[in-house]
Amino acid sequence: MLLEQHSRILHRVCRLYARTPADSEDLAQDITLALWRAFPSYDPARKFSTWMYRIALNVAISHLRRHKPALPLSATTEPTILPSSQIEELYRLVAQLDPLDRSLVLLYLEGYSFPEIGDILGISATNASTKLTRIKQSWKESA
Amino acid sequence: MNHPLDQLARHCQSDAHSESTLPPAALAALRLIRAEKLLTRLPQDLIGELVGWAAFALLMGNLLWSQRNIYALLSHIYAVVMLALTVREWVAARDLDLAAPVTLVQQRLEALSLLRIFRLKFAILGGIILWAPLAFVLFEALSGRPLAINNLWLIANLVFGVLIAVATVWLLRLYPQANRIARALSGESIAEAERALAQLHTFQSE
Repeated sequence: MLLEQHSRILHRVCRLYARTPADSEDLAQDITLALWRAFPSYDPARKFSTWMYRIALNVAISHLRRHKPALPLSATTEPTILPSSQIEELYRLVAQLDPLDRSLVLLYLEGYSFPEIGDILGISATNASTKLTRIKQSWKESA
Repeated sequence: MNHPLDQLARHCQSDAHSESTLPPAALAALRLIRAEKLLTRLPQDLIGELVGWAAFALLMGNLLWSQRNIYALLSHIYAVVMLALTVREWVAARDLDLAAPVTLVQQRLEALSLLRIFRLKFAILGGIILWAPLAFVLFEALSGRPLAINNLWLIANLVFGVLIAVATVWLLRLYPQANRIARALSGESIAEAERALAQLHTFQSE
């Protein structure tokens, strides 16, 4: 099943937009329901992951507006290449971004190109690239 | 590629196959959907309200035809405006496509939220002001004879309704935390939606 093949997207979005394990479960259910309902309108000519990201991010941003922030989810369960403390710190910084910037960073972390990020978010590739550069810059300044 | 974000990106991409199974909550949702318990819930949430306001507008239209007075006219206008606002909200909700680009969908969601707040405010504040004319119309419809109305009393009642509405809004501005209705009436929800729209606009601009 397509959703199971792309379950990583669900994990990533829940990790960055949910603040507690219970919240993560709610968000995962909301996204799954939205995907199921929207599936009849999915155009197989388009990339499934792009379609899924759009829906997942739209649901996650709306979910975040309805549920006020609590504590960020821990990143320690993730298999590591970087030291886990460093990964946790990086995720914490990503979680502090506003929801739209967070979606941009999430897509960048997933390896999407700027035109693809622009397509998912509804902005130009140049705009996506400029924003990411600004985010990186602001991290450097705050470090 | 030495920026921490690039390091995290390399980490995420190298870790691409580490999460191969769906979280339990998502699987639970899928099982529910397969049982078709939730499919019918969300899509037509507004249909009930739409039918209710349409019936109310029809009833008030009929009463206006038979009573032909200013109270029936006011009541009918209220019902028709409520019906129109509900239709508008229903169309906006129906046309919402979550698979559209994120900024577009978020803008539409905020616009939908503003429509909902406006409809709620109109329903409550209009109801506070128009309850007396509505009561007259319904009394005449039920009893078959017009209520002997003292115009001075009616005007006083309308003024009282307006004052109550203004006082309600003023009090809720002082204590807007109460609930969704309070936040809508106090203008807090509108301000929040407008802030979100401004953020989206800034995000879209270069």
